[in-house]
Amino acid sequence: MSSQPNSAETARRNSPLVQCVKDELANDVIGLAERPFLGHLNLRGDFNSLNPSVKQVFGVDLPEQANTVSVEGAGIALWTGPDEWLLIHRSDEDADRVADLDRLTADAHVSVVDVSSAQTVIYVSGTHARDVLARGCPLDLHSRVFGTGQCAQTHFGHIPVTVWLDNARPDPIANPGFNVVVRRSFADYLWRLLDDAATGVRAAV
Amino acid sequence: MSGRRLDSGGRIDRDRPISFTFNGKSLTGYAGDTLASALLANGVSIVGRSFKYHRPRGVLAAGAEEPNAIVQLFEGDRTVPNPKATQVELVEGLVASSVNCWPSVDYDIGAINGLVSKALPAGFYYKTFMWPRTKWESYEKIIRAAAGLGKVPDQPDPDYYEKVNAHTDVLVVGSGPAGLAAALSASRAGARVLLVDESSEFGGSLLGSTELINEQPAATWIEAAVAELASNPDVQMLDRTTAFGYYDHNFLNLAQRVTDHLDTDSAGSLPRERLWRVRAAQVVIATGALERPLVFGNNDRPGVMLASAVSTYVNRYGVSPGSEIVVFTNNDSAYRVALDLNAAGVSVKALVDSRARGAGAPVDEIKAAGIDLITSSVVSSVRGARGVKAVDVHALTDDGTVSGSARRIDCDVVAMSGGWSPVVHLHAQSGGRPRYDDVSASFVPGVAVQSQICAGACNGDFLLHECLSEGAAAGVRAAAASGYDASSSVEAEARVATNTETALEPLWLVPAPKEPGRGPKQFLDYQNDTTAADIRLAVREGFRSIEHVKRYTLLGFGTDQGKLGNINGMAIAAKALGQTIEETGTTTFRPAYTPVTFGTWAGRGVGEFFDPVRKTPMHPWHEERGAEFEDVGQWKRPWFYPEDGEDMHAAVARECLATRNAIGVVDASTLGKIDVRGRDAGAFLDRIYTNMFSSLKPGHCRYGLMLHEDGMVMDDGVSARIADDHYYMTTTTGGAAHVLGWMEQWLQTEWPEMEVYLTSVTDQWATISLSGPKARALCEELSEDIDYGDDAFPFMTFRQGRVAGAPARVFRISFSGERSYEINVPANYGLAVWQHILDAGEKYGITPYGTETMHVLRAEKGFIIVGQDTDGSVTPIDLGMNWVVSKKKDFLGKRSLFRSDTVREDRKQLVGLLTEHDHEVLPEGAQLVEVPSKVTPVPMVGHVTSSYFSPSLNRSIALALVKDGRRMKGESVFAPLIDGRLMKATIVDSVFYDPKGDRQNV
Repeated sequence: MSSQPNSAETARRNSPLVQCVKDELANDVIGLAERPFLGHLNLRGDFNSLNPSVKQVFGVDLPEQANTVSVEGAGIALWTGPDEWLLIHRSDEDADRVADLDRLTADAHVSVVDVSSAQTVIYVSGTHARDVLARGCPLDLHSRVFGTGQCAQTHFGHIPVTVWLDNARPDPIANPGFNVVVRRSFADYLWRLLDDAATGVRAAV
Repeated sequence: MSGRRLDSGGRIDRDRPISFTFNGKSLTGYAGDTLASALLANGVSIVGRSFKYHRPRGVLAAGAEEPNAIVQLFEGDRTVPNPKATQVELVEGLVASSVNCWPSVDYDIGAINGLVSKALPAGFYYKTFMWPRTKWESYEKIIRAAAGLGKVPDQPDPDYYEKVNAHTDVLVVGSGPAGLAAALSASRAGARVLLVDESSEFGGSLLGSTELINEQPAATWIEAAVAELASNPDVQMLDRTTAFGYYDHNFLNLAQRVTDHLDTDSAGSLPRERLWRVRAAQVVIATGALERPLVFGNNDRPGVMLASAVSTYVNRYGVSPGSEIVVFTNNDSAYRVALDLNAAGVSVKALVDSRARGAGAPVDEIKAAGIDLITSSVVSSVRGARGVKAVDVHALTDDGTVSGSARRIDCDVVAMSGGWSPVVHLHAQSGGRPRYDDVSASFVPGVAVQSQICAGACNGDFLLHECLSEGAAAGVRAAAASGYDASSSVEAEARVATNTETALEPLWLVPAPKEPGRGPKQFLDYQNDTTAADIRLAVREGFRSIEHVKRYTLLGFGTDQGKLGNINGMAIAAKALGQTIEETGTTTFRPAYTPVTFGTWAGRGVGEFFDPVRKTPMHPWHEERGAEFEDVGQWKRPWFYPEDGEDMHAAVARECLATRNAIGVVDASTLGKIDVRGRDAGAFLDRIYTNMFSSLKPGHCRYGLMLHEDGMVMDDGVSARIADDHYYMTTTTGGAAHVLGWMEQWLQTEWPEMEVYLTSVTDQWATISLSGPKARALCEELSEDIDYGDDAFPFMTFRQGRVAGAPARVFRISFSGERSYEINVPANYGLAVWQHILDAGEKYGITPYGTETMHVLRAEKGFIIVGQDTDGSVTPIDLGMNWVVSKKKDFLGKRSLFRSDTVREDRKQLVGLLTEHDHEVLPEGAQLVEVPSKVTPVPMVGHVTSSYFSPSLNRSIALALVKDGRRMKGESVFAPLIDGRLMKATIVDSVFYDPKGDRQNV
């Protein structure tokens, strides 16, 4: 009975990319890193039913324009459909905020679903980040076409991903950072695919 | 024909000699050479044998249109069949050999086909099908052995290939004068430009030309243009890159050859080739034109070349293909060639022009150069079996025939020009219909149907000043059309002589003293040995459509796709049919423009990347434990966990018995999971499932079955009611995405009034299923806040709490028949909780099991697996699952259950089978018959869907779909096996183990 925990003890968490080697990959040319244990909420509902509560709890306004992202307060809100948003917040263990949002929206026809464990974010950065993504993503990620404030649901290889550009980087045109949201079960495959794409890019740099 | 390197000239680097091997012989060329130019410089005249008659063939062209000089390039695992020597860059140590000859290119046994050519007419291949019919099987072996060029590598490819997506405002294909001018003006307007060229250098035809731009050699202008483009960050330039396919929505594919021209060190870890998938707002097609051969007797002898190719070899590569040259033309362009050769010190013996007046202005230059100009005359045939030794020149009569005796001129090269064929391939691939232009006697691009502009020679405007100005204008238009203000764009400064030309006079088939087929062969398609006589034969035999003539004669079927000879063939067919060339039309231009390797198509989609792999949170544990994995959809699921030396059978037996007798654990995280919320969630599920879900109490679970509209079983699973307006649905592993899409479709298109939202949570939850008599004891150790007592937590309910410290939903449901708890925790906790459970369960003998044991346990209980025991033609009634089909409410598929076909009594029904001998296991998929007859056909009454050896029952069990099976209980059926045996089995109930369900409460 030695290893038996009690319910007060929190079990250890593992991110989807627990198996991947990460440390030596990041540099100024190409960086690959997981942003693990973020809070992810999938929101369904109409804007007016959701936005005031979201704003109150996370301090972010839901973007109303298609394929845009709002970064504000404690949240990052991505438009993913006419009645759907992905809200990313600081921690998958921030159950209080999720409960607050649930409570505030209880009477409305909305759906707030915690998907923090269901997906993760891979951060693809560096001067050649676009070249890496071009090896699997069919979207035009040129800085004039896809800038900060925009998000897109696309795919890399055969893997569905949601992408937005990090607005906090000093030079997102010459040295961008892309946040790539991927479902947990595909994360390991996508990581290996991105790392493999980076090999070809590094060889050509 | 005796080619040689000229003392000076060309764009080769004479300080960098390169050794290479051709057909086993060591030779030397220079950096900047192609394999073809180096072979010519080394005096190699025969480079291959033709496909059908095995005639000796030499280099004919200098680019992608080359039909003869195709080689087996490199050796061993990196070998490539059939690249064109004219496009292969010379690299140190390159090894190449001829294809389609045996034992050697100089002495080839197959040449005997040439002697019996009368027996091998056009359509010979098809005729072997017809007569005598019975002989085809013996012909086939010989024909198959003779067919095909080159050899595929017999080892795995050591290189890698990659695919890249690219977007651009303006894609410019071709970097000749038109392409460069277009790229310059488009980029100056601010557009993103992608410029691609198939050659190793930018410049296109200018690289082999002596024309001046801005009073300077063209090379100076190219250099400045390339430098300007390279300095623009919004311009990307790709050399060695062929735009080979133009598809819908301005989507084009390019093949880039990355490392074949590099030595191993420089190649490093670069991919061998890259496939570019380009989406362009506008495309400028500046692909130029290919010179057209003339069709005269023995026009395939080594030494007969395209005039422009001769010029290119002299000017670009510093190689003269021969020492005494006769130029034969029907247009002005070859005059330039004669003058270039003369200036390079190569003897031009004569210029034969089929036109009466010859060219305009160049005539004086030709005369001044002392070249013998013979007008109103043709080269009717070539003398020399293994290479050009002389030509016969006949004067043309007024009616366009020849008569009288020929004038014989000794020479070793014939430089021919029958005019120019614009490269309309990309335009045609994009959906455009080429139109016949009488002035240039060629097919030129018709109306563009996609966002494209053709410029320069590919438009039939062949003169340099036309190419430059059209290119510049195209660049401006393309930039403007993609949204850039091009009004102030400065066109490239490029002043050139604006000469005019005397019109070409079409000469599709050079008149000869004898009818085609009687004199020396007049080749149209060099690679496939299609002659003028073959086309006429096809027409005589009744072929009318040019597409049929093509297939019958193999015109244009080679790896060069008829780039040279098709137009001549079409014109000859048109004449034989008594119609115009326009009426005859062209055959279809299909991608790829030039062959693309399989490696390039595959890219990185090989090996570990062939198909996406989905892993559960517990995957690292399974791997460490040495699990064998099974692919279920894209998931990797543990199949079984062998322990020291166990085979699958032993491992599965151990896992099954441990679960029935103690406790087993399976990773069920792959189950599809859908969060269903909203006021109408219950009513919605009532319509989706065959049974009622609105009546389910919160905290309870229910098994549900869903049907397609045709009444056939689509998916199944257990769903729980979390709250009044909140359900948690599970689906099969493979069906999750389809079920979600199916439900969204109904919600969005048919029932938008329903207040329901669906969210996939498959990846959110790690699912750990514990089964067996010890499961409850273990669970009680894992949670403090869940009461696992039977009263507090009965079968088909669920509880929320903590398991091993993680927030959890625990479902008391069972797919094994044993007492079972399905623990769901957020996937981030999955691995840790799994590890904890395995540690804590050790004292109970906890045994991890895989999908095989899971299947055996459920089959013992007669639980179906959708997709294994059903195949889209099975209703719930067929499965004997009437208990799950509600009579009180409507649901998807209900009406179909009352069709005459679905209410038939003799439908195939799910039953159990017990083999006569306990240890015989029926093969899954085995057909079942009622009569043990070996005489076929035997009426088939059903088939085995699931079959296992059951360790708990110590005998084999099987599920089967059998016609009217439920009525046949106790009767025998037989499974005729592939080895001739008949396995006898008795039809029984489909529940083999614990039919009363007592194990649930053990």
